[in-house]
Parts: sequence; structure tokens; C-alpha cells
Amino acid sequence: MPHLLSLPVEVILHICRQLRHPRTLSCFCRTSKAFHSIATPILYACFDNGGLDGSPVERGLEQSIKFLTAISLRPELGEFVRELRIEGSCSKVFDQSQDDMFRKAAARLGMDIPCPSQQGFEAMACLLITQTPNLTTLDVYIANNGHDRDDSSPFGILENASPPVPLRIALPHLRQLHLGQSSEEVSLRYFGGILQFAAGLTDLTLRTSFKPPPASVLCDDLMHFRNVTHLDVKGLNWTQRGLDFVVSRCHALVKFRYQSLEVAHGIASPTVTARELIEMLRQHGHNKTLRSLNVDMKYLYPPFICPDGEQVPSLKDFSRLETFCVDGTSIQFPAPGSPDYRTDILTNMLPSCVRHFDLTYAPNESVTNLAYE
Amino acid sequence: MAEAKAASQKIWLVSNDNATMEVDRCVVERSMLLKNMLEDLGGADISPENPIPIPNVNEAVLRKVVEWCEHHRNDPVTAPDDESDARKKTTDIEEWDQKFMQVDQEMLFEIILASNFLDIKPLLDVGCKTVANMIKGKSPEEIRKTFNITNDFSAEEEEQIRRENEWAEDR
Repeated sequence: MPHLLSLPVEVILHICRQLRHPRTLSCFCRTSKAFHSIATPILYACFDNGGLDGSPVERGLEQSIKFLTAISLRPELGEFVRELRIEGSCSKVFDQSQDDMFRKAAARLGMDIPCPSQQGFEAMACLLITQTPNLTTLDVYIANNGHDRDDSSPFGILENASPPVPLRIALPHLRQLHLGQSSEEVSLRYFGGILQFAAGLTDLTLRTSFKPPPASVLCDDLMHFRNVTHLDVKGLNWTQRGLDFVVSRCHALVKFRYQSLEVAHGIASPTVTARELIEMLRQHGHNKTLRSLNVDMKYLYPPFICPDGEQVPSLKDFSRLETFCVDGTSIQFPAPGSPDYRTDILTNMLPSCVRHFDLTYAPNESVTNLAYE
Repeated sequence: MAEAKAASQKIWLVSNDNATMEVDRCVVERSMLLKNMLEDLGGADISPENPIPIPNVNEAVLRKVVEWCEHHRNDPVTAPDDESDARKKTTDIEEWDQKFMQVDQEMLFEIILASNFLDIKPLLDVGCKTVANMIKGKSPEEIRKTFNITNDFSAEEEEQIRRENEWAEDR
């Protein structure tokens, strides 16, 4: 009679992947030695502290420290980790037991972190990253990270803490990186300690705005964006210079998405327009490689709707573009009856290679243009 | 026309306890193993006297597997690229499949083994999800009881693993 343990290992692994919830996997690990050895790599494949969304910050911090303790006691567990999602707040100060656990984990890794209560969450994120060398996906969001520190990255804290450590840090398998933080004053230099080890990065998501690093800070060696083909940028406060800093460092983008956040009337004005964004992509040669372009400026409220000169320019020289998604308020469609009324705006704008065109928040004036298309 | 003819073509399978059954070719082709075999060899030589042997599967299990393939004969074939995503996305099992899987544990594991051998991935998924649902929400002791698993850990070893995975236990 077949028994759960008599199933082939690949089938038991498939069952484990369906369990998903860490607690369920952990219970299954404790049933027998055989299931422990099969299920543990799946349990440790993904760590998500759910620090801000899924659970209170306090629990996210507690779980992160416990996870760090586990992988510092048995480094082979850290080698199973493929996906790491860490969210937390710098305003959270470690309590005494968390401080003790953190210091012990750091000491086991041969590091003397001076004071976890300052930059504690960032230091913990660093330790987690150093102990997970096989990461393919990393998602870090830090809230309340306060003032800008352009001269040094808190994610470079380990370099300063202990000279041998940088030799141990390497993220050769990292392909997907998602970064976010809550301060308007912070540049990407803040995450320099991560970015300098991510040479094989292909997918970069910037979940919030970053200001450009000051010209005095050398970033070329620290920012490995050249292999990034998929760039996803979100946020309200991106400046043209800030976006240009990122876009110019990518050599051949295949997919680009920009999403502004909704602007409430009178509170803030958009800092970059669709036209400027597309000109920027063209200027850096991405018009020859882009297959998918998504620009959502969310110009929902007057007076931001299509000021003169902000309509999307021609994309005719985007020679590989297959998908183009844009919000309707980024395109200037003259109203019927007006002197410059035309129905060939989209025909003149889109290259013939476009297979999928998506117009969101389409204004009434666009209808005749779409019909003409 | 030729495709329709091929789909309604009859194929004969024989279980490891010598039960022969007649099945439409399109139903048989839910199994990637048999589909590739029929494409390589053609199906013309297959007859009631010369059926395809299914060596690892007995009659009762083979009938269950064929029943599932009959019900899902018109399901779209998942492209290899979409497969992992579509299969990862949900642990839900559709109602008919849930009823189909209301069998004893022996039959459940036999269906999983047969679908693995015959390479019928959607049926393997349903089987694995059914087992996963039997594990969810249970303590280690309850899981052992459900699947008749012998605990070969000492109390200290089990406690050590519990402490090691404490980050997961809190979730």
C-alpha cells in the first residue's frame, strides 16, 4: 500500500510547495527526519517579514531577528533562501531581548555592530542579506529612514564594521530587486551597499521616489544597472534628473513602466511629464530596444491635464515597441469643433510594430482618434 | 478533418492486472507520456489485441485516471511557460475535482503515482493540492496521525527544530 513517504521526492516537494504558509511547512518539517530534510529547503526558500502590510511592525521585526538567529546558527539554512522581503521602520528601537539576539547573531558572523538601536533595522537587513548568498529576488522597504546620508550608505555599514565582511558579501544570483523608502530627501546612494553587489541585476523596481545623488558622490562603481532590461519606477517626487540618473545607467531597456501617484488638486504638481520621459528614453537609446512601454502620469485633476507641449511625442522611431500603455490625459486630443481638431493623432504617434495599445482615462476627444486607428 | 479523425480514433490501454479499456485518442493524450509515444509511433498498430501496456497502474486506478481525463478532455493544454505560474497561483480545487478526489488514502496516492508516471500534470496538481489540504492547519502530531507517519525524532531533536523555525511558528 502506498504511503506518503513512498511517493517520489519530487512529488513530495511539489506537495510542500502547495503548503505555502511557513507555519504549515514548519509543522510538516517536524513530523519525521525524512520530511524534515525534504521540506526545510522549501521552508527557507522565501522569507517575508510582512513588516508593514501583513502584520504589525513589531511582529515583523521580531520575526526578522528570529530568522537571522536561525541562519546565523546554521549558515546552510541561509543558502536555501531565494526570495527575501524585508519591510520595517527605522523609528523602531530594539528592545533588550531583540538587541541581545541581534548582537549574538552578529557576533556569530564575526561582526561587531556598534549600536543596533541606531540604524538597527538597516543593520539587520544587511546581516540577512550577507547570510543569503543565493538570493534571486530581494525586496527592501524602509520607512522613517530620516535624513539623507549621501556620503555613505547605511547598507555599507558592514564594510565599516568589519573589513573581512565585504569579501563574504556577494549576490551573484540576484536578478530582481525592489527598493523603497519613505523619505523625499534620500538618493539611491542610500541602498549603495546592496547595489554594488548586484552585478547581474535584470529587473529593478523603485517603489518610491529617489532624488539624484549629488555630483560629488561617485556612483558609477556602485550602481550596477547596466544589465537591467526591466525597469519599473513609481512615485510622485521623481525629478527629471533623478529619473535620468537611473535610465542613463541602463544599457538596453526592454520593458519600462513609470507610475506616478495620484495627485490631489492643489497639493502637489507633477515633476516630470510624459513627453520629457519619452524624450529621455530616446536620448539614451532605449527607443531601439524597448518592447513594452507603460507611462501612467495619473494627471487626473486639473490643471494638469495636458498643458501645452506636454502631449506624448511621436514614437515612430521606437522600432521594436509592441506594447504601449498610456493614460489618456498625457495625450493632447483637440476637442471636436476646435480649429486644430484632427483624427490622426494616434496614427501619427504609434509605430507600426505596436500590437497592443492601452489608453486609460481616455478623454471623450480621443474616441474619434481611436476609431480612426 | 484529419485532426478530428485522429481525436476520435480509439486507443486501447491495458493495466498491470490485464484489464483492457478502450479510450478516445484525445482523452489518452491528456497524458504527455502517451501523447509523445503516439506521435512518435503513430497509433495505427494499437488494437484490442495489441493494447498499450501501463505497467505501474492497476485497473481500478487506471479507470479513475481515465475518468478524470474524460472529464477534462476539452481543457486547454497549458503552455510550458504559463504552466508554472498558473499552477502556482491557486491552491483551490474545482468542485468536480474535489469530489473526484474523495477517495481513501491508498487510492489518492495511487492516482498521484499514476499521474506522475503518465505525466498528467494537472491531475498531479490536483492530487498534491488534496494532500496539502489534508496537512494544512494540523499540528505535527495530527499530521503523523493522518498519514501514519512514525516519529523518529527524539523529544530534544523535535524541540530544537521547533526553536530553529520559531520565526515561522509565529506567523
